[in-house]
Amino acid sequence: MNESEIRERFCHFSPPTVTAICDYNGSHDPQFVSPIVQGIIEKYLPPEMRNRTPETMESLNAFGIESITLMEIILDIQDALGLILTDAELRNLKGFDEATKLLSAKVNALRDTSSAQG
Amino acid sequence: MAMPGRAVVTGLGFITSIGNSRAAVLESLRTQRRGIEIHPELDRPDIPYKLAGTIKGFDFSSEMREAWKFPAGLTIPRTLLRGLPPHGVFAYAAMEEAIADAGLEKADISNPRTGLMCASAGSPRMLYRNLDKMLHEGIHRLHPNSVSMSTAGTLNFNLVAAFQIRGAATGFVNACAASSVAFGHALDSIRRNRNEIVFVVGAEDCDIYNILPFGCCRALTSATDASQYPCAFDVKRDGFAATGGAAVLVLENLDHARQRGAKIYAEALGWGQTSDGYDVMAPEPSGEGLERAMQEAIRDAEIDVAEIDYVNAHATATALGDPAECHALRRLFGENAPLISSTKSQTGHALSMAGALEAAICCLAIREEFTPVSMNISELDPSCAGLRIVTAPVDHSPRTVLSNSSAFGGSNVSLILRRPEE
Repeated sequence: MNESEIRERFCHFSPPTVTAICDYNGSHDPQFVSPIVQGIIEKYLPPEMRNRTPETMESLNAFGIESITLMEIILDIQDALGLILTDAELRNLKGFDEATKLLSAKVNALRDTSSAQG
Repeated sequence: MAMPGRAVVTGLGFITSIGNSRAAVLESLRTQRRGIEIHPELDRPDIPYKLAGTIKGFDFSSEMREAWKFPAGLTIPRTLLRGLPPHGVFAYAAMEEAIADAGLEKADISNPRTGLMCASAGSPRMLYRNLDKMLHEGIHRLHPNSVSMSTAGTLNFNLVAAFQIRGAATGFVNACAASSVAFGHALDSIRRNRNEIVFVVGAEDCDIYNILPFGCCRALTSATDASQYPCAFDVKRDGFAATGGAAVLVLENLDHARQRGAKIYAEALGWGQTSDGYDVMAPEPSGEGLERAMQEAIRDAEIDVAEIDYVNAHATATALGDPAECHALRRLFGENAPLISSTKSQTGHALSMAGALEAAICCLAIREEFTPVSMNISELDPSCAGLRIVTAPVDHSPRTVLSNSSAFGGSNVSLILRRPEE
């Protein structure tokens, strides 16, 4: 996606999240993974809970996020980072630290592939 | 053996080309205000069919649901909207109106004895977009509701969840007779004491994806003048103008309705269903199958044919369909034809929603004591000879009404509604 496509696709997200996605898109730098994931999750949280972060997948229900919303969050993360999470990767995700590590690893792999292709 | 239950209509809801509420639809019917115009999505030089019964106040052109536009006052929770096709939005709005009109409480709606009988063709728009995305971007880029928002059955999937319906819920796919079939099965389910209340819902998208395909069989009007076309029963008829929207009827056990003091529009007396056994698309030219459907409805209603004083005809304005129905009506009624009109010339042909829409229009006609007009007729086709087609407003308050629907597969359905006893 180019910058205008990103801004259109994520127009309902917070400006810092959109900026992070744009910056990531130009660099594939893993440092943007955490703020992007946080910003995407925040969009789906009730306003009174946006200053809190769910620590585990299981705790999402307490934040009003059920299974379909979780899938929507994953779709947004995939689109923002330009990658796909496999069924096996999703099944094994337990916590957000773990998710960020997995996504960062996938981003690094993506960057390595891009570099190798020149 | 217990006496079979009786069923009455106690609530109506409309999203239509002639109004997005019961009051607006009634006013349009009384004043012959047209719902048909050039559809913006069809207004292209390469498209030979332009007229449709447009649904005003909605905009589904964006692929992002957050950007969809609805009339003021309609709000849909995000977790519901994300899985709705356009006609699911129409149906949700019409359900809300019908529930309020019937005065139903939450306990009446989310009740093991309350059911839902739906008809839609699914959403070609959603199906096209989702399959296109799947093929070009991959299956894991699709929204998890992509199947449930697209397929026939999407109405019952979504409305059951939205309104927490707990009784029988079914979707019918008999094309343009589907919501009449839904009405018939709802009536049977109440008569057999399986449900106290059944919501009958017909709904369709209203866009290039579900309208233009009917041009492939040359069934659509190619006219652009909505003041003269479509024109069922007229010698110049050249096809139908399609429409979408939603129509909801609350069908309720008579005793249940009386106990809670509900307003009653009409009693559902009976229905009949037959097949032509003739062709996939074309009606059998003599109308024999439709005649049998009407006879079956009259037998089921336990009335005499002479009691029927208004027929809301299927009549879509096609060259084959209108004459077949006229032949059937002439044989059934003989010299004593009741008043007949096709409201499709005013609303457009609502496809699988047509039966529910026209049954709801008949309920308004019975309660409000008027006879709908068959619009756009300047010269009756000779095939209408001997039939009393209502070409201009008449002073007639219908008491016992028959509503016809016919569809692909030679499917014919007739419903009979009657003014409730005092």
